[in-house]
Amino acid sequence: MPGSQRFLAAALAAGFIAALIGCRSVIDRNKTYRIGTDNSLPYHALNEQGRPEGFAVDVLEAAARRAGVRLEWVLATEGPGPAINSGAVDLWPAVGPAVTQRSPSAHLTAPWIRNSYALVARRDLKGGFGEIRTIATGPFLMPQRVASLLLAHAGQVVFPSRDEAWRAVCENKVDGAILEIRVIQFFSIQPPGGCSEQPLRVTGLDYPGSNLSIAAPPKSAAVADALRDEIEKMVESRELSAILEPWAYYNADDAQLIYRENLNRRNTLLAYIIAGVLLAAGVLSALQWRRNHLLSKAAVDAEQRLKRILSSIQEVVWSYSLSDQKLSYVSSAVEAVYGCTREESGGKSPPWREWIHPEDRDSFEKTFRRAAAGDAVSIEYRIRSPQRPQPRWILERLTPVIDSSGAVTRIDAAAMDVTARMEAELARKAGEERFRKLIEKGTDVIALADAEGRIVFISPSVADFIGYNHEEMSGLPVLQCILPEDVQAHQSEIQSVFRTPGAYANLELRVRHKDGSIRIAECRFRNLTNIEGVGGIVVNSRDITERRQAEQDKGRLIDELEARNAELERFAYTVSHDLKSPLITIRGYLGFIEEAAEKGDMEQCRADLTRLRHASGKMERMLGELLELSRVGLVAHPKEKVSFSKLAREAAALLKGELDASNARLEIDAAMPDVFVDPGRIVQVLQNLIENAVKFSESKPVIKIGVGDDDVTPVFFVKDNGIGIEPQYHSRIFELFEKLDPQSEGTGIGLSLVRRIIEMHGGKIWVESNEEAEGSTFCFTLPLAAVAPPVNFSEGL
Amino acid sequence: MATSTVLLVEDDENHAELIRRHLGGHRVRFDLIHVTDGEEAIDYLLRKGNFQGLDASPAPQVILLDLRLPRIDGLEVLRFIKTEETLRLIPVVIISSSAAEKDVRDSYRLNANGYVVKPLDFKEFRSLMKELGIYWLDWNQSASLASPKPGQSPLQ
Repeated sequence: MPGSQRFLAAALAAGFIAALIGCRSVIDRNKTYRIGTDNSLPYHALNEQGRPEGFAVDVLEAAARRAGVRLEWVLATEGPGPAINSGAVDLWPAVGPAVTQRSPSAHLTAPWIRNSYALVARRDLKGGFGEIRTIATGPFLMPQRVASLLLAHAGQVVFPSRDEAWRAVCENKVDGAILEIRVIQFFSIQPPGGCSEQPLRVTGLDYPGSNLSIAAPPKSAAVADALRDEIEKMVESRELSAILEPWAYYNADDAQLIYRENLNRRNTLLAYIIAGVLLAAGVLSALQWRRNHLLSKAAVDAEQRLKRILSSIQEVVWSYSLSDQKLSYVSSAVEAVYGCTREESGGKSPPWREWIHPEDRDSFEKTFRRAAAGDAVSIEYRIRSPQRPQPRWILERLTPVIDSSGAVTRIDAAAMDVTARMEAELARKAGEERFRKLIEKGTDVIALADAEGRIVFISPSVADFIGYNHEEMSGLPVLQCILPEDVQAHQSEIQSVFRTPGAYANLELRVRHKDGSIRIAECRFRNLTNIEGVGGIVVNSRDITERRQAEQDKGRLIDELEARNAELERFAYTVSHDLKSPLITIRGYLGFIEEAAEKGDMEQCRADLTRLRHASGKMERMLGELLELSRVGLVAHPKEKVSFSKLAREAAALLKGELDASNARLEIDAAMPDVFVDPGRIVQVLQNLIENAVKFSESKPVIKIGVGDDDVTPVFFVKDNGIGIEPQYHSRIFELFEKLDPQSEGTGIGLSLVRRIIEMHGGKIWVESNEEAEGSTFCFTLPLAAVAPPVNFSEGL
Repeated sequence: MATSTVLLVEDDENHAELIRRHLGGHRVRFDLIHVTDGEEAIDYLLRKGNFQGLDASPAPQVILLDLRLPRIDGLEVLRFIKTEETLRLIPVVIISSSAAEKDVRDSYRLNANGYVVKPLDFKEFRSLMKELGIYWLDWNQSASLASPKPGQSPLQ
């Protein structure tokens, strides 16, 4: 790569120049060189035991060993510039070129590592840096400086931790954040809570100040250059990458939290330095004074603060040396994560291996062996330690460390307690299971179709609905069972749903059941092709056949009831009116009879009494017939199979006297079909019709009872040779109390009764009469008794 | 004083007799022509059918019309009279046993000149018919009487 070649050339050139300048300064192998740290993890820091930690520490210690130089790490929270100026340190492990502003005499080696920064923004931010109005940073000076240099126009928001800066971006509280690339890499793998869904765009930032060198005052410049040379050799031998690898995932939470405590008070460099000094002093004095039993309040505060900080680290980092078969390092979070103390963990093998849930132990061992064989792996397992009997989930990443020969020497690991997340995950799975059951056991049919409309999934309840089970339906077009004419009728709606993500249509469609019957479905088509996890057309269907049927039945019943009600109203009106007539006559002539009786006019009396008798007789007849009429609907006699000819003969027998008196001739077709009727009622019908025929004949009545074919239904008839009925009265004659002849003796109820009986049997009645043919023909239909299918006589027989 | 003519359209023979005996009491003299259905009534008014050639038969001073009639219903007869140019000035009084609101309204809508309900009570019946006769045959000035030749049919 040209970049690394330039880097190499610059480094060699710097080394060469340094060697020339170094004539003035020599390396003193007996001297211990003080190398400064301002607790900048993951580069360099002093831990609570006063031991140096950090990858710059590891790198420079290795370089010093190779160069035969001894280093002593000293805390210099005032920062590299002042520390170099004051002579408090001989070396500074990693610092940008800006240090020469504060310490112009400082010697800088060629940079040996680049602390690179990047801008993180929401993916939908498109217009470049100009669009970024607010920028978030963590509580570190370098990124803040990068932000004010490269994004001077943007308002800077300093968050107390990098997680919060990251979250602010994904929650859209700020337009972007500037973070170290190693932090971005870490967060990409393990996003801070609530940010796993939001994709973010990362843009690398070019900032010369992030090239870090070893700095030294002039008198120790030679040592700095010597160390830099060794680093160069370590690059070539791959030793450097082996040292750096375990640090790649390291998220310097210790340092971050220490800074946070102080920065929260005042975010200035001065305050930071003063606070750092105070804190360092506090820690140091706490350690000393504790030994001397001289605890001051300040020391207690400082120690408590430190403990709180250390206990709040959530991830444990450990390093297992394969050659020594023991843990070479374990961070303080071990107790929180695994439930054992640091001391307990110092054994040959990580003791928590015994506490791994029996079901997970095999897979852990397998994973561990894979890491030992050189694979970077991660695993989730359950653990239950004696101190913490509640089982917890651990997420652990194992990274093998390979030496220059390619052999795995060490396994570095980072582990965290993910119980809360796992429990949420398990709860989510249980929820999914519940939904699946709901879909499977529900009566509604839910189908998922692909973009071509083929069924990808359909709930088993489909079998109850259309008779085909879900396996038969799978892969078929989702519109398969819908009647083609219904698909045709709703084509545009269905097509638009299939075309448009998010579109839906509610349709009522008829589907054909496996048994051939038609069912009515209420369907909701919805295009969810744009929804992750669905990615298709969802059709919810519900069988509403019975509901529709019930609605139709209800409508028909209401119509029937309304018709009956209207009929009843008409009936009540007509009856009250027509029954009043004879009453008026009776009352009217009673008055005359009284007057005539007073006068002794017996002639008049007798004449009026005749009228009276007449009227009361008519009223009696009307009442009797009305009662009969109302009975037709009320009293249902069982129906039976009976010969219609026989019924006609019965009616004739009952009217023998009248027929004889009027010298009438009655002809009955002897071969009429059997009917399925209430025999008494049908005899009543025939009686009425025969009586009418006799009544409206002028001379010798000739009456025929027979049957004719009206297409398919046999039509029975009673035909006379009487006066006939003019067409305009053909329907009126069947109405209650309607009479064509005012002089006739009838009540006007007879034909109403006839019609009522025929209709109760499900038949129809009408009259045929015209001027050409003499007389009237009353025609009606009746239900036939079940007959054998007609025999076909072919020519051969 | 010329004798008035009354056309009574009534299917019930007994009712017709009651009306004939009571109408106008003893105060007015009139000829009562009784027909039993709507068809006959129209035939009479138009001098058709059985009434053909009865030129001398006078136009009625008032028509007493029952509603429930065989063949042609009372309301149809009323509609016919009131839409026929030569007949519509003749007063038509409905005499019915029905007091139903619908019947009353329908009659007036078809321009009936009066509507009376046949009373059940003998005395009431008698006084109603007496007053009715006096009113329509004596007191009321009808258009047909105002014609220059009393007794001449307006249909000619």
